[in-house]
Amino acid sequence: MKVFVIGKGGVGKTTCSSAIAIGLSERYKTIIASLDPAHNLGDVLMTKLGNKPKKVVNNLYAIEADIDFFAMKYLKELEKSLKNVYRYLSVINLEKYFEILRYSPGIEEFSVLEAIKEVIRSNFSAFVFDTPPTGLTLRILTTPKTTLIWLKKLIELRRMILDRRSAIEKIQGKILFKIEDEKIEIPTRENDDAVIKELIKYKNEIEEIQKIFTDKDTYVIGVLNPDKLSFLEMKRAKDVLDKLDIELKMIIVNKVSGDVSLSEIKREFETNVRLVKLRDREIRGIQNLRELYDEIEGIR
Amino acid sequence: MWRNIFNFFKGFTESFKHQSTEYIEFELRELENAFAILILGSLIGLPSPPTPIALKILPHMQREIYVMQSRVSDDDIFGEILGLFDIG
Repeated sequence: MKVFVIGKGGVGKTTCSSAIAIGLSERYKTIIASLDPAHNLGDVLMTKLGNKPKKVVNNLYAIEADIDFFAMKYLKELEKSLKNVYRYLSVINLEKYFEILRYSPGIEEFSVLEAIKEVIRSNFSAFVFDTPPTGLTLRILTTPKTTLIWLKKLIELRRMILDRRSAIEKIQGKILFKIEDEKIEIPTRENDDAVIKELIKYKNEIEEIQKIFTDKDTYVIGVLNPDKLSFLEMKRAKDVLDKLDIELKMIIVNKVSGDVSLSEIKREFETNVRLVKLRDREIRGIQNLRELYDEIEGIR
Repeated sequence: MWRNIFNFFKGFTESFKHQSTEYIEFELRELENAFAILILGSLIGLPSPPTPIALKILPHMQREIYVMQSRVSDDDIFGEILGLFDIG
């Protein structure tokens, strides 16, 4: 089971996701991962966390994913494949030239996806993700879909190229491409073409990531406060999720102090709604979070 | 003399082969050019694909980059099209 807790900054995502993780850990071996670059999961669970899973209580482990670490890890993989091709550059210390890739647009989203993949690969039955504020989270969730659109189009175009090459080869024999004094044989079949092989391999990887968000056992839970701003932001988030075929399975209205119209929220989001009352003290530590879970319960 | 006849027929066959694939070759070059522009379009201000796609396939794109470059600097594309349809 995978749970993604989303919402506007400051609505109580970390508190709610921690409570959910504690509740789930009574039935499953559970890990909670903070994907927010400004972590405060350790503060809520009242323990020091790092980039490696740490046991918090019985069946519950927690990690504050270091996004920079995953960005560097991700880029190391790319660097390795680039190094193979541009081997001659290694004599002048290639690494420093590729460091700039860390700042390429989109790398942050891919690094977070890499972190999610890594956590899900670990040996747990339930995964709870405390996400960054809505804007970045939506960009992360959108990334696999837009990447797949590109990949599908590029694969289609590449197949047309290979098709034309193969037609020419049938009449003229092998197609040789001359660069300066070197003659290179041009691939005409999918099995020989490194470009299409890379594209297909990457498409499979991205489809796997996309599946994480659209799986039946994935719960995307929205947290909002009983105020107009977080309500409107969640409405916009739901519109984006709908376009991505990601189901918002629950709404938690956190810090409720007066009367809140449950029916309006239910009607707007067409999903389960839980109300969590505003406490007169901060909710931190296992015991307090366990009590909070009783109000949220419904994820099984 | 036999050698000349052989060369004549060889040339004749080659020319026939070339003519029959001329259109496909033109189309292929344009497709390869379009492919390279989609991947490297950011260099001329076009929106680029997600960075990892370009990074993953760029090392294998010598041919497409070469074609793109020659389409921009060396090739007479309009002349090629006119020739293709026997105009002029």
